[in-house]
Amino acid sequence: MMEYILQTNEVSKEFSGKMAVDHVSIKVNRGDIYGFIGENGAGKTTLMRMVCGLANPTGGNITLFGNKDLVSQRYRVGCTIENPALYPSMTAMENMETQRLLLGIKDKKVCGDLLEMSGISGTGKKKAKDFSLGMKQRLMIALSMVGDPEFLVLDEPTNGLDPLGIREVGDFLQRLNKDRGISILISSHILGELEKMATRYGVISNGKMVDEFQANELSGRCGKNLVIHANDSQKAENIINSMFGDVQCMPTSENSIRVKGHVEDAGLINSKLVKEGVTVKALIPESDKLEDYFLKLMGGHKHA
Amino acid sequence: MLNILKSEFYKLKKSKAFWICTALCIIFGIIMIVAMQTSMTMAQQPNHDPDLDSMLEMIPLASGTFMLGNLISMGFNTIFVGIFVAIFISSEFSYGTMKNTLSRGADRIKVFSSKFLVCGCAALIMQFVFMITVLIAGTIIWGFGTATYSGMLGMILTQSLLTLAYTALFTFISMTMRAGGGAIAVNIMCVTMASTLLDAISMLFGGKLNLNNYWIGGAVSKLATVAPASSDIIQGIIIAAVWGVAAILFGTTLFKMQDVK
Repeated sequence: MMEYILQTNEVSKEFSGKMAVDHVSIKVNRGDIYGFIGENGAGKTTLMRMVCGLANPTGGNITLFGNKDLVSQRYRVGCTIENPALYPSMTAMENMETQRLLLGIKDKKVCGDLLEMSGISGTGKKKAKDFSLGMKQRLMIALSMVGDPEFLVLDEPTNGLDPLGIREVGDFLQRLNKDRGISILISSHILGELEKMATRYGVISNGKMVDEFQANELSGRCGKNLVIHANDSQKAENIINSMFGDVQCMPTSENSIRVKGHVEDAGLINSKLVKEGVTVKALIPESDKLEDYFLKLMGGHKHA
Repeated sequence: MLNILKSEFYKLKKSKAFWICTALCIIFGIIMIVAMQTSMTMAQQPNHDPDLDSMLEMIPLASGTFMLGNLISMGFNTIFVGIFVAIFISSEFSYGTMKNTLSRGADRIKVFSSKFLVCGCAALIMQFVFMITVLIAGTIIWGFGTATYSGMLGMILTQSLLTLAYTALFTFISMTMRAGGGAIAVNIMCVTMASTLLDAISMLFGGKLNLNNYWIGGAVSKLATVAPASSDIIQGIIIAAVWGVAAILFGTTLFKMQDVK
């Protein structure tokens, strides 16, 4: 039987007559990395804040580890919500110490180990106010790991990180998930990185859940495209446009174009291009990425 | 609760605001005693400023214990307590660190109570530091003065209780306002302006009922002597208990209802 770490049942949050979260139900299974996606102001952070006990729902209910007494279960959950929440005049180790004492952990070594694991062990006497945003994000992840939580709620933990930092945090979270079996609810605007780690997705828009699906269902939901590498991509585009009235062609790089749909017409397109004197170097069918699917759900214009 | 307290005391130890406000209690204590001595000397000069005439009455009474009572009633140490509590608590909200506490399952009543207890300890430390500074500096200049142990103890205990009542009020204000500047302003106004305001309101009603008698500041002034009357002590204890309990009850209720950003 599937064990749910988190279940929200028709959870709502109303702010001055506006529904920030509108009857949202999500399920995070044990072992999941649940990618929570939505445009700015969609309600992701509000839902996460309710899960973490920072805001009270105005409707519905939340279950953590199958238990409705959330206060008793929250010690099993590590959170980072919005900006890194640190004491600026304390060092990384002192910030960790406040959390260790709060959770009543006797072993002082825990703080050093977690700082080491998060890649910020060498900061010494440097105060948190002097950290870069990336270092603050890492320290926040280390803080949320104090007490060996079974479930992490991470609201945009890669905000402010450089591409290498984003990759490192992504790899770190995957290791936590695989090696320690930690389940993760994560929101991020960097859908490419999320796509590499998430095992399940939830999409929210205007406070309402739009879709929820397993990672392996993504390809079934996404459209298929045809990428054509040719010696003259402009000529190829004109030919394809003349073949199909409703076709969408987009240049992707030099001498290649992406044709939306029409994967089943690959043979026909190839013979027509060859016949018209275009040298086709490659003709590759591909699925839409998570970002494309998200944009399609949002109507094509919004940003995650 | 014990774990929350341990974490809070660790933060107190690391709090610059606490150490600065405690140091200011020492500095202000010394400055006030030196200022008093200077004013008394100037008042004895021929052609002195008439504003200093009141100082002449103080000269025969001047002693360490007399100045202790006199300066406690001015509320300098309470102002520093108000500033410290506002900074210590509102920074948890401005830095967002309150989220780290609440998201790990800490009960909100226990969080509020821990904040009050830690701020209360800090307030008592600051009060004792101020009292000792004034007593030592005053004794060096004028001598210890006359005071019974029971009178001294009565003053110290009732003043401590009233300081705790103020701290409960400051904790309530800071936890509710959550903005450093605003909380500092309101806390200082509680100490400096509330008594004047209550006196003015009492006058509006013909002066039959003096509201200041039921305010913490009014009790602080009444009990700022090393020979407090027993009726004043009892009234001071009741006032401190009522204001303290009310502030904690309102504070915890509001904190339980409010969302934390």
